[in-house]
Amino acid sequence: MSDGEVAPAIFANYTHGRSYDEMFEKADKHRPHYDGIHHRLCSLPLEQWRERQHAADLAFVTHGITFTVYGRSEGVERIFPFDLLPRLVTAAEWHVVERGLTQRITALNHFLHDVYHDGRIFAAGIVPRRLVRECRHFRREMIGVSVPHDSYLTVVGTDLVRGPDGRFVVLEDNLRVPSGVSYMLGNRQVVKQVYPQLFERYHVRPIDHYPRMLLAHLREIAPAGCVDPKIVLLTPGVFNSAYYEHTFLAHEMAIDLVEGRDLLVHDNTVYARTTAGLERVDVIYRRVDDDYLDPLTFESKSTLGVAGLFNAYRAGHVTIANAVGTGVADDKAVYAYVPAMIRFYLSEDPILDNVQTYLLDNPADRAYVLDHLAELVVKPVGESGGYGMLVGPHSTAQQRSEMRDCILANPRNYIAQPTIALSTAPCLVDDGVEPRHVDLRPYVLCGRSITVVPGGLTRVALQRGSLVVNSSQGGGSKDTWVLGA
Amino acid sequence: MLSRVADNLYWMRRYVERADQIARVVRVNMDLAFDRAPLEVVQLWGRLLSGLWSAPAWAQVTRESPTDALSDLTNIDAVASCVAAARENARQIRQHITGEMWDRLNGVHLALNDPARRAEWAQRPHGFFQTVREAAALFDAAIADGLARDEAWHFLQLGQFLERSASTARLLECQLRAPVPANESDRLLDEQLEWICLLRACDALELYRHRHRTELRPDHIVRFLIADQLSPRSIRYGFDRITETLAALAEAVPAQPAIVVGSALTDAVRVLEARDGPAVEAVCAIQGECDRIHRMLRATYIDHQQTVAPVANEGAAWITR
Repeated sequence: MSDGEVAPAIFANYTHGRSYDEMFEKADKHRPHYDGIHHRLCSLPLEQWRERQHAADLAFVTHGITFTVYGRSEGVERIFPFDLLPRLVTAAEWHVVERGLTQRITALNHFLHDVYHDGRIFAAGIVPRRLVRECRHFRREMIGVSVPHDSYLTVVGTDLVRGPDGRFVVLEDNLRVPSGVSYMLGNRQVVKQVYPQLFERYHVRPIDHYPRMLLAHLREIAPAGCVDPKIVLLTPGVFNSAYYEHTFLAHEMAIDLVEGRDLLVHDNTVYARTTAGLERVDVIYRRVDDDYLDPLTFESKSTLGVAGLFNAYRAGHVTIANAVGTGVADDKAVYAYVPAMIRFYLSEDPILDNVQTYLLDNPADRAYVLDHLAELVVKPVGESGGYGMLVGPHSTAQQRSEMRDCILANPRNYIAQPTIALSTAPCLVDDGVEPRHVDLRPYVLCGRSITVVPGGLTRVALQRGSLVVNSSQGGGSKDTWVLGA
Repeated sequence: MLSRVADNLYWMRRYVERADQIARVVRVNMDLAFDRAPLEVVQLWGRLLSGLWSAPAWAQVTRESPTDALSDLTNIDAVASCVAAARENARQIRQHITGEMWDRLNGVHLALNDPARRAEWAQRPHGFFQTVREAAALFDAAIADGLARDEAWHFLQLGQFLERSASTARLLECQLRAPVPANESDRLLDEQLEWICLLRACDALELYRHRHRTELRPDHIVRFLIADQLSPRSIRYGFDRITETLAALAEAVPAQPAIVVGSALTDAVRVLEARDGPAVEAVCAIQGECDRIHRMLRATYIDHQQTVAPVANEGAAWITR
């Protein structure tokens, strides 16, 4: 739409607030790279958009692309709500994201090695040793354990958000068992299926090779001397919320999808029970948290893991990806120190900034936060999925008072951040197109080298005005197009 | 192949066969209810139900309201729980089955739990039987055309024919144990009806007619259901497939000892031909052999060291894991 032209009816309810909008530069001017999408929105009747949206929803149901919602009497299978309009990232923007993530993850990997070996960063006074030792995901058992190529992180899903100035900043590092990649791939397939014409005039970088890349990185980190490693994907089982993703990835990589009960450890070696007897396992891509991996070492009541697995791991007879103990580096209090880590290990300035973070065991920060709860977001340090979070501006006095009690009882367990006006992207709603808040989770694969997959999962807060994008809290997703140069 | 995957394949196929079998028995009883005096219906119903070892979960059918078989919904639930168990097994091995197989199972699962369809079936039960029959047939077709004849296929074959042979033997046993009515004229009519019911419950009435163009004779029916080599619903046919499959499996997995089928079936055939001893004992021996093969299969390929937790359903339990 050029200046002066009347906005088509489809945009009648498109509000323009303080947030950065992915499509509109100003109320009457869209960004150049959204030309193609904007043109389609103006020319295709809303009815037909609805039909295509409906076809997309149906595709998810019939393919059984579902996730399970916790906190009900039993697991309920749901589809992840999907919005048909893709979210675009330009080549120039992506170049920054790619370099920034590579830098950040390289530093985090150094940090993990340092934490479990020499502790140089503690000695230098950059990160308090106490902060790390008190972290719930710190694994004492990992001290002194070597992992192949010193590679702790194999799959990372970093959450980025765009502030009002349009720059991407890092909201969270997910270094344990990040999920959602099957939706990234599924979303692309579905858009291709229901609206192929959208791709006209765009050069969208492909992402379909993700499973092959993951397999290649898993092969790289096999135990030394292992020529043709046997790789398996370890799932907690069919009741896990991401079970569909586990079956999908195992199928795409043509590896066995195993549960703890399919494996056993004999003589510090891991075996799979097969119809032909026991078969040796070399690499485990685990989608099970540290706590449940081995009842002998960690949570003794766990039935998801394999007794003796940790000893086989420590002996170097099997690789576990991601490594055990990586959660110490995605603790939300440790997060505050990542820019300092980048300077310390790489002698570089961070390319991607952090969000300003208040550490609540610091008395000055705590006093400020308790006075400003209504403006801030407070998060527990060791949780993911948006559980236990307080969004100040959207909270009630009672919720704030409860959070105050929680903070005072255990300040180390919480951090606070300013409420960020996440960027908005156009979404199809009942009577047209409206802006909704989005974030971006790109996936990064590491082995001997680092690969940033050109795309990611754009999560959408589907409620008008809501800032919570987590799938477990009613969020949806969009296909994400990283454009070629 | 992972032992658990073999286990899931085997149970998935057994549960589909079982769902089909249960739906058939409900249908036979419902049809029969129109032709019989109320009390007798209940007797036969109870007998066939106990044949499926799951009587408590079943609704009674009476002459006054024959369609209660479905409006009560517990019978739909019995079938639905088998389908749900099959689907749950399938969900754990989606990388080993075809999309078509999944779609069939998922489709019938969604249909059986759809309140609108259930309300419709309570009025017109025929649609329910049709839905289950078609889903089972299409599932079979998806297996037949979609899968390589490898290890996975062998476990599916074993699941199908062990379930079928055992259920046929069990229904036969119930019929052979049925009390004979005192009144001579009633006896002839009743017997006819009951033996027809048995054949229909085994989905073998038309097969029988094609093979024996004579009147219905109980001794012929017994021999047909046990020993006919060419009819896919006979126990002999099932045992031939089981024998072949076990041999193929032993070849595919040379690390494990071969399982050999015992003599229960040949013994039964001899008893029938020589009229040497009670048929009912021979039929029980066949069930025992099905159970033994089932246990050997698990001990050889699945539970090397420890028991694996089942996906079992109480209401529809047969051989439970």
